[in-house]
Amino acid sequence: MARLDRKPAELAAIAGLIVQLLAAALALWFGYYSGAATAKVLGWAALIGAPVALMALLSLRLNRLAEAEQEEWDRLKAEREAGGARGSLFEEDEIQAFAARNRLRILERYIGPIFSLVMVLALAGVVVGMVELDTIASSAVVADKAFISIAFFFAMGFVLFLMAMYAAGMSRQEAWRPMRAVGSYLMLSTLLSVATVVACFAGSFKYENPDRILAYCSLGLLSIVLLENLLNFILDFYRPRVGGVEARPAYDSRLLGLLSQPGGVFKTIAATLDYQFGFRVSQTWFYRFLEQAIAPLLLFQLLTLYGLSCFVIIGPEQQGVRERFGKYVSTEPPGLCVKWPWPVENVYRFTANKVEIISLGHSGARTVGENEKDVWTLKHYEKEFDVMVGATQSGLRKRDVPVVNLLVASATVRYKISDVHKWYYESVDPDKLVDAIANREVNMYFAHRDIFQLMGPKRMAAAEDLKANMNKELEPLGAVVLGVGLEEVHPPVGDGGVPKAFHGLITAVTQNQIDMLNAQAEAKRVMNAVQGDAAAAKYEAQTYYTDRIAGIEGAAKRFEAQAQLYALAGDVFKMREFMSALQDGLTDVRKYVLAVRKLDREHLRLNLEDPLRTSIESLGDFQKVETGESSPKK
Amino acid sequence: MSKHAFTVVVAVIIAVSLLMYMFAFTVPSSKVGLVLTFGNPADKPAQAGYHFKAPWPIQEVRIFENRLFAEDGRFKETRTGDGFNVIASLLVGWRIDNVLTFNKNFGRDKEEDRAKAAWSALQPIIQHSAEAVMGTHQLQDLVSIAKEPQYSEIENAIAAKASAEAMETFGMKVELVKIKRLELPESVAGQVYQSMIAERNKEAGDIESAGKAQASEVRTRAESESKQILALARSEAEKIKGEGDAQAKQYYQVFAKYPELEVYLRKLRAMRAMLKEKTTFVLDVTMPPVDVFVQEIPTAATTPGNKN
Repeated sequence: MARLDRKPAELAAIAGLIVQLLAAALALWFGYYSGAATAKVLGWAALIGAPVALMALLSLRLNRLAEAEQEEWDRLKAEREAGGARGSLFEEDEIQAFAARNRLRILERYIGPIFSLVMVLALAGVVVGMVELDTIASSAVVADKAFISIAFFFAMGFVLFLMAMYAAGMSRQEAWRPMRAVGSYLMLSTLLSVATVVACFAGSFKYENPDRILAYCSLGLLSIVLLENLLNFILDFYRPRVGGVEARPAYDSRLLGLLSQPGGVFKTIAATLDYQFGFRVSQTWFYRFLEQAIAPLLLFQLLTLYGLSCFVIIGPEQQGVRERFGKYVSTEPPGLCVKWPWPVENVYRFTANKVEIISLGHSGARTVGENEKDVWTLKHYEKEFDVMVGATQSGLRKRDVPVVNLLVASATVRYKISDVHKWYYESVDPDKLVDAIANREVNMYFAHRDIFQLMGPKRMAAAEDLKANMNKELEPLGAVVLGVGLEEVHPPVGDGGVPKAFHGLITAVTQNQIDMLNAQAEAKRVMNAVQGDAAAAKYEAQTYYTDRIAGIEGAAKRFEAQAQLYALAGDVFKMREFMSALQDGLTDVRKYVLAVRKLDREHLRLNLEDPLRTSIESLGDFQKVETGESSPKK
Repeated sequence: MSKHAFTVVVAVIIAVSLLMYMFAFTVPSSKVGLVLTFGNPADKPAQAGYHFKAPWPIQEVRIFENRLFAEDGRFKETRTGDGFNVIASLLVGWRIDNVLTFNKNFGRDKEEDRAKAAWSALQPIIQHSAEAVMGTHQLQDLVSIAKEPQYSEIENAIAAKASAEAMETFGMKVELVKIKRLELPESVAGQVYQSMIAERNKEAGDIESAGKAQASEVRTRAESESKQILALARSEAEKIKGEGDAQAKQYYQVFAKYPELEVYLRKLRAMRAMLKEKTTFVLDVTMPPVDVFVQEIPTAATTPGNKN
């Protein structure tokens, strides 16, 4: 049987090397041109795959040379034996004659494992480098350049696929077996080219995530190959070297080999199952059915996924805008929305039924704790913006100081989308417009108002006015303000002096009120007192009047009666009256009777102050008379 | 056979998709499309809808945003006509008005980068216009108690001025400008704070002194009124008493009939009243009724009726 010539395989290996190098260079260039991260992974993978073709080329060439040496050696040996030469060739000659075979042995024993290790390190470098440098996360497909990228990678993938299949086909021949690794890595590049086409296709519709997902998946595949090569490298040391058994280099990935051999996947799975279960599972009807149905099932699944684009669920807080071939068709309410599949119809959803809240007048986190007193002298947020408020010239300002006051005004605006059509089609960033208009209305409104009115009685009215003004401005945007709350309107904190001055003002106002109330209370007390005095004087006069009239009238009438008695009894009447008076008047009175005759000729000095008892007793022969119950006892 | 049919169906689907992708394009309602034939733009942009085109590289489509862009301008210190410095932040709403002009300037940028590039080009125009317009207005046009702020006039003037330049140069129309925030430079704000403190302190002083004056007035008024009321009340009381005295006159005529009796009785009444409290009365035995102590005690012979 004629030996198979290895030269075609060598040429194929050279072609494989060139294709991989070209693919690497172009993929990297297009990767940075189009922004596709998957293309960058492809470029590095192809670059790592190129030396595999070089190794295959070396292996094929050394094998060919070794065979030629062997043939030459055999021929020389036969000639010698035919020429009657005795003995064998010198050993030194033999060593020189098999130089290629020795180099092949060195290649298989040393260079092959070293190359495998370098491959592992290179793969690790690519995986770690791309993750660490954030290459994938920072990449995005440029939509405008996606089309040309798709065309290129499609073409490149096709070439790589043909090359991979050719190499894999060659590797079925034992003499060309090194081409198996070449085919495997070419198939890896093909697979990544397809992934890049898909990524660019999605990118052309502004979908950036598919590219990133595919790039990470590609890195995952490289990681698996890396681990497999590492495992092969380690296990190779313990593999028994059996004569006549083909040695498979560690870098010749078994997993990638599944990709490059048509039907290889199913055949391998079948062989594994047969071995595991001990009978030919691959011959069962179920396995055969599965093998035949797998492709239609996958297609059915893809079609089902595509069919799902006919349904859109609009949440209770949402409304949708339906476009057919880009033209507005209708506004969709919450619920299930059935539409033509993409790209015929699109439904864009907006949270139109949800109330949005924007805060004005500050930024950053709240700096006042929950349990802390919320006073003017404290900063409430990391950054509070001063709002200019109108002022009147007080004469205390320098000429170059503007006649304005400054206030801190924190407000919240509650709004929602009133017209989804306007909201979507009027502006690219309607939220930003709402925020700006709300800020502007607050600034403009405050600019024309008095600081004390805003902080006090007009605050409620200000909120209502702001709501009305904002609604007038936001109507063309399709938004409606539901409420404006002026949570904080107070003097700016600054170094704390302004709030303290306002506190002083409030204290003065309060003190003023206290003074007034005290004065009014005192006035009231004085007035009440004087009213009492006045009334008392009047009543006293009235009493006097009554007493005067009534008393004199009674006395006159009694006197008339007494006069009649007097006229009748004369001195007897007078004596009776006198006695009666004495009796009444002296009843409860201490009485001393001086039982002394001719009293008028003596001078009596009487000390009538209490106590009298001692001094009276000292009077000697006075006779003491007990005249009443309350008189002092002896 | 079925396997071939399946392959054919898949191939047809893929082929149709690719053909549609190569020969047609869709323009959403929010955008417009510009078809370039070998780099030469069409006269009119393609509006929303489905359109056909020749495949690349013959024809290429560039999609441009048709909606209003809203961009926040930088905080910029500017000087008003009356020499005050303010820091204004503007929101600028602009849209692509002339796609052909816009395409010449920004068409080669990525679609997502065009707005950014266009805004970078528009920003200096906006700043220039804002400076120019603000310079013609006084601070009280922006902040004033007495005068309604002229925000709209200023905003419209900036928009008009910027739009005229941006339209001609870049095909961009500045549709709206809003003064989002207006602040004072830090040093000026500090002076305003000090002025506010001084004014509040003065007001507090005024209020306190006014309060004291008012309180004093209330007290004085009350005292004055009380004196008047008391005087009037006393006057009225005297009047009533006088009336009483006048009316008592008629009764005195009764007493005039027996003046000595009236005097005697008044004396007795007075004595009765005088003896009521803390009185020590010393009686001479010659005085009735205690004179009975010194009178002779009548004997039986002197007893009336005993005539023996």
